[in-house]
Amino acid sequence: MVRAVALAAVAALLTGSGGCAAGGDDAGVTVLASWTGREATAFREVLDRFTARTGIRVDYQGTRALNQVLTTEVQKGTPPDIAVLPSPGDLASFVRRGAVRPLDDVIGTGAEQSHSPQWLRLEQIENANGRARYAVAVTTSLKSLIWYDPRRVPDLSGDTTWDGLIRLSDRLSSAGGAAWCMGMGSTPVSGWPGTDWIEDLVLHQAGTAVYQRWSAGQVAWTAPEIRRAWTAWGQVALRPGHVRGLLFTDFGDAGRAMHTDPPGCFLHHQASFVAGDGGDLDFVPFPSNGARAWEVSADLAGLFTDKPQARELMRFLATDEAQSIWPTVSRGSVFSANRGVDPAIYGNAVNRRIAQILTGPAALCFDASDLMPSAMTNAFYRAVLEYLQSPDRLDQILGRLDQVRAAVPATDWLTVPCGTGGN
Amino acid sequence: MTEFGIRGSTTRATLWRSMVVLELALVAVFGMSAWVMQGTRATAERVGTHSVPSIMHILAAHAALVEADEAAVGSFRSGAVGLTGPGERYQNQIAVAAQSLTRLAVDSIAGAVVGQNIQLVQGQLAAYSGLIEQADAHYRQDPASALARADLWYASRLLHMPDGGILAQLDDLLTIERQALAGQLSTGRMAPGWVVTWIVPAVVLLALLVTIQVFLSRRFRRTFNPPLLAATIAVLAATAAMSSDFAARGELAATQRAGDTLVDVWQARIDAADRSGQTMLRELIAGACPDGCRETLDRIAAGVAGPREAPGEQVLTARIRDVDGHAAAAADTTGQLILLVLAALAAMALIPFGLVPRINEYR
Repeated sequence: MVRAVALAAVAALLTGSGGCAAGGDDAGVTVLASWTGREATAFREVLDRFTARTGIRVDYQGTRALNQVLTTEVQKGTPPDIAVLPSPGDLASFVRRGAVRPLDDVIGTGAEQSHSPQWLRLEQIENANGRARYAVAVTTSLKSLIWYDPRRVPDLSGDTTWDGLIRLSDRLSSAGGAAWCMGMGSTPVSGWPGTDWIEDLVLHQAGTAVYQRWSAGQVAWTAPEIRRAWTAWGQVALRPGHVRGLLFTDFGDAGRAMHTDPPGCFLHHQASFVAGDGGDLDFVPFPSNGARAWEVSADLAGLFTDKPQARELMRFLATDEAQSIWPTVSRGSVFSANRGVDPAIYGNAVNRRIAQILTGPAALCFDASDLMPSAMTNAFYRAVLEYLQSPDRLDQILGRLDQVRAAVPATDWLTVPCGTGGN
Repeated sequence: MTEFGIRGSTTRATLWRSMVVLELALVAVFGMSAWVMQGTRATAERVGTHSVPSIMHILAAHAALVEADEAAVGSFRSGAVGLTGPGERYQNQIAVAAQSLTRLAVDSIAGAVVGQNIQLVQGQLAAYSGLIEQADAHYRQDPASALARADLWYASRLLHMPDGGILAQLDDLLTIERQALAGQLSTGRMAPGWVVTWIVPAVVLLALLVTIQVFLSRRFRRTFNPPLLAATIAVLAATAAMSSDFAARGELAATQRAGDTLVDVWQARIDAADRSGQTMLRELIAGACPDGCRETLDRIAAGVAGPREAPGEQVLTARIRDVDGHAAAAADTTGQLILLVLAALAAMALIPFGLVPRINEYR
């Protein structure tokens, strides 16, 4: 008996070690986007509100190399639950691979009604069964804007023509500072601020019909109306003394010289996020030969898995509540496409005008380079930089762009017509 | 079981209870000791084979990328790029960075977030290399090309951006690994409070052994009970063996402190290389844009804050050895579980040998 007790005690000692297993957590949602720094902080506020509402944890990852990272994860079969892509072209490439799920059974009609029909169209992509909604615009930007300080350029008005703008540039540049603030730097996608110029010139000089066909790959880069847009931009960007910055200036730094005394530059062609930089800037629309149209862009959230929690987050991102958070904290650098968002959150009259254009009846055209397949878009970015370096090689540059256009399969091009935002 | 009840004499019952209590106390003391010892051993192993190597891989990748950037800029500045591209040193350092990230993916045990961050860095690294290649191509077309220098700046900016740049991502990874190391050394069985869980029962056990020894000497008029005395010595030996656990914990703490010093030394080397590279880059850009990019030049100048002189290779090697030495010493000095088990088995067997004959005297 004694021995039995002793042996039992020894056995208990010998078998006493244990382990603990770390359980995996499938209840959270993973989100991948390009936002870092302050933008990531603002987006996290949106995600935190979702977590507070639902108790569902969200792991956010931000990277400037979004496409590479997402492509790798999709190829490995481990995509994030949701990825926010900066262009419909990028999103469409993942839709074609079957990596993104349609949202028709995810987003309720209430949320859809808060979007205008035009924005709903912009969020649709063609699939085997026709067109389906694949995205929620998390943020939107209005382009086709020329920013200026009304105290320093009092004679700039909304009905200025292109020729009038060139004359104004001449006058401003002869008065000491450069007329235009420009910065092409935006690593690793430097050059896009220049593509916005070309796009606005095509849209507003050649018209929406040409713009739509060009962004869908149906107009050659060597076509006269496209070439004319490049040379028109060259009138501004390449004229000595007319531009401050350019290749060696980051797009985020370009407008700073408008606020110095004396100003280093007076006019800044840039999207609506400039409204968040502070100061008393106003904007005029890009000079147009025809009916007024605006370029827009958006960061589009796509659903990459069928996890119920991820579907819940997509539904939340589409709500007026979620869409109001970032514009509120960003003080005017981010706008929503939802008509249900209270305009008062935009702070001042200039920002409210932007919000009104984005959600009102104005004709909106998606940024052409955002619609193009990524191979074309990247070539476009590089072509802008090449043109600034060697403007005399324009025909060669356009020829190469056309070679890229021809090499892209026809099915990779998106056809997203311009349209009005109102019902 | 009748002899176990109150029908036996009071002394007999007392002896029975004493034996059971002693055996249970032994199980408690040696069980807790073994559990704590195993915790220290496992931690020492994780620190030595995972945490410390992971931190070193990150520092190596960071240093390699800064050196690669400096080498590329230097190659453009000297004009060697026309013949050799960004250069052999650039290629080697990029390879070192890539290998370090791969090894980090294998060694790290700091959680899934490390793998995700490695992917982010690798994605950006591909974009960085692409921009250097673009700069190289433009330089070969025209050595005076402003676009070649612009691409060089875009690449370097991708590396240095405070928000989401490659080096910032590596800093994030370093923070994660250091926090994981600190967590391993201060939580779970490594929490300081766990020492009490075996020391207190050990003291109680020794007190019980002495008390029973005194009880036996008075009741049976014997000076010592040899088996119980041997059991007491076995318990004392096991307790002494557990002192190696203190030593191992001390070595682990020293590993962390040496790791902090190593990070500082490595950072100083990185900063010095960065200062050199960014100074050259600023000169290259200033030459290409004499005016109009003041913000860019200011931004680069603001980042040139590192020391001019880097700690030498010997200093770095000595610090690495210091970290490795403490980590190895921690693994070597953790107590031997087999000795603890043998001491426990001996003590558990000796106690019945000491008490059962006295119990039988009341049969």
